[in-house]
Amino acid sequence: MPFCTTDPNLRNDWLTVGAASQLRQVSAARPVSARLLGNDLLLWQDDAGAPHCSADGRALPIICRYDYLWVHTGDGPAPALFELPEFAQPGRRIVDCGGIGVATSGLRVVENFLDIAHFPYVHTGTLGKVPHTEVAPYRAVVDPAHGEIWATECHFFQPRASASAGDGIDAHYRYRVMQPLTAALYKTCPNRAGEWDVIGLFVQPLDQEQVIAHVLLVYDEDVLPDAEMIAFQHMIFGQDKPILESQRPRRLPLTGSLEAHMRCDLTSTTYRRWLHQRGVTFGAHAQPLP
Amino acid sequence: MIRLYDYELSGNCYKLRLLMHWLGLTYERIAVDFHPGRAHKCAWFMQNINPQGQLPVLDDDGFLLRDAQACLVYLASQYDTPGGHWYPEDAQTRALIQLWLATADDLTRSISAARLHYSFGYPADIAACDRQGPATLRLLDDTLAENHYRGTPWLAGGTMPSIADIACFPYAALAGEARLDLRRYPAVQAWLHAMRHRPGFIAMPGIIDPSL
Amino acid sequence: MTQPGNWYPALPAQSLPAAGAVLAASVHGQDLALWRSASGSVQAWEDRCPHRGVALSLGRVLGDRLACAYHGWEYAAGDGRCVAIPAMPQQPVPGKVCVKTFAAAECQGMVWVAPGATPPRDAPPVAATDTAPHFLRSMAIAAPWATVEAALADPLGFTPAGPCQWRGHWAGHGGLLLWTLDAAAHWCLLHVASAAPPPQTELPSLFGALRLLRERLHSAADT
Repeated sequence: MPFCTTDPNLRNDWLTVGAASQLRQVSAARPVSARLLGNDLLLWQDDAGAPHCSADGRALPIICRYDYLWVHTGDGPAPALFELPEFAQPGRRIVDCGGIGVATSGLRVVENFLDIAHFPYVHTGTLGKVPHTEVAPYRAVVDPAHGEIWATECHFFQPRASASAGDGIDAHYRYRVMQPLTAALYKTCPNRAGEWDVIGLFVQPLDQEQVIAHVLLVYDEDVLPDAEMIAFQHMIFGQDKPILESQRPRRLPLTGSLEAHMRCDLTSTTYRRWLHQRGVTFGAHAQPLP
Repeated sequence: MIRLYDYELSGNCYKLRLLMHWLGLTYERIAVDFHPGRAHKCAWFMQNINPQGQLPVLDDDGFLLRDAQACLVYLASQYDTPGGHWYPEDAQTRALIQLWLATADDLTRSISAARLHYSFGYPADIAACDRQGPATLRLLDDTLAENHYRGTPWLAGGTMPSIADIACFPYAALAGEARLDLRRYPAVQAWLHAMRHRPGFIAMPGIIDPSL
Repeated sequence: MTQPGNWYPALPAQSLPAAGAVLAASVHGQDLALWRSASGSVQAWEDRCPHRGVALSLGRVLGDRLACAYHGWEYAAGDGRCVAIPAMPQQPVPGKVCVKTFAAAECQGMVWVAPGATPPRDAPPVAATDTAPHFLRSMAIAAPWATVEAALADPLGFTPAGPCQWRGHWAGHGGLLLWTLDAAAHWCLLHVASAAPPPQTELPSLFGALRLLRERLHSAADT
């Protein structure tokens, strides 16, 4: 079966098929299945522990980076995967929060991840609280070196910014978009001033309107058990899910006036313009002709 | 001291969190790595906490109890004020509550199973869920519409909710995550609204809290 | 078979309580958020916030405003104009941000909605009775509206009483009034009322009869 898109933004780049841990004790004799771009891929690891992937009997390049598996579905050479230097920093704690299925376009999931203004309404009492609703101006640029989006100088009052946060803080955020379906947020670390906790979002597109959203924590935290850190992230994601699944159209409008844009939507408008300029069509709402 | 083996996104765990909150109980919440860790299926958990490998599990000073509905009965019986409304003593109300606790299991088998499938990739007979989920929602809708006509907004009758309402509430409210459409069930929508607007209501992720 | 015209019988007015609830509904394939403002008037809005397309039926009623669950943007009852953007409290709200609204009118205890592109010039149809009907039940029928309408006439023997309206008796219960709502492609809503309040002793039999009617309509759709 062919992949369900020819969009080069997806076909020519690496896409995640989930955590590397799913291949533990999985041999070629009994591979696991992973869905990607409308296809069921087979994944396994060899005796040396190297991952393998096939689709319709054809081998596909697959690598393991950041404890996650990445597959290349295109015909040409694969580009370098994005860098996440914090992952290898000594003293960092890596917690895989797993993937949660969402019935919407991956572009909607990423855009929600980049949004601050919803915190007091969707994540009440943790990431935000009425009346602290105003979003102060911040910056968003496309870094010419890697073509990635960076939003900086974002900050927001948060009653409980993370699983280990005690009191409310003015949390500082930076957002980064590495690929159309991968992003990272860097937030104030409550335990160590000057360090950033990193939350990676790796979206696995099953098709244009169904994804698995994987979250990886790269934290500076050494007290709480994994289960509590995962519970906090799942709480946040579980609160976003009904919002995401109610959005219509499911696919993200990149241009036009179907949706309203304000200055406080800067990461959203920057992301949509970036997607449009790259010619992304997968998961994007095709505008009706005038 | 009450301890609850808990998972943030579990509707069955939430039933106990909600009742304990309304009963004013303090308890220790023990986070179990349900996903991706599947800790509820690991050897230690199944040997020491619940051989069924399921959540929630209640531990009240060494009294270990599994099954959300059994826990609701225990908590209401043990901790509600005498004459309280969560599990009233009269035989007819108790029998009606028992009916709805059984219906809650139908919701778990259908809506919760479908939700686990779509959210976490659990295998499920989706065709069966798509038959039983709407059938159970229709039963709730019929009952709530008829009860409303008789002057009670609650499943087991009366002026106040009971554990029957708590048992059926979460998965009815989360029907959208099982890809079911609540537009077909206006009486269920009205009941969900009434539950969410009870004084002291607390939500779970996936159910929108009316208060900010 | 009766034709719907411009107005569709969305819900009995009593199904939309005084204030606070937002109900998700479907009328002729249009998803709607139905709510009642503090001043009491029924609002039938497209179930989509113009900001990021989130369902307004997830939102909160704040007096005469409906606030979206995503970013708390507030929209005024009546014309659906955005009147508050909490992320930017110092800036005036741009005038053109507006929810798509539809005409809604309460008539003899029924909320009628006109989901068409232009608001209708005429008023909703009046039930063919002298007194306000006594609403019993609104239930979804898993069959297309046209199939249900055909079955109500034949073989179930109801008599047309107006656009989307029927009268008749069923399973020993007389004086019944029915409204059919064309909700979406594969289902419709059937609203049932009686001309006079039924005695308490008849209620179990009456509600049982309505469940039987639903089953018969489902079988009619399957054949």
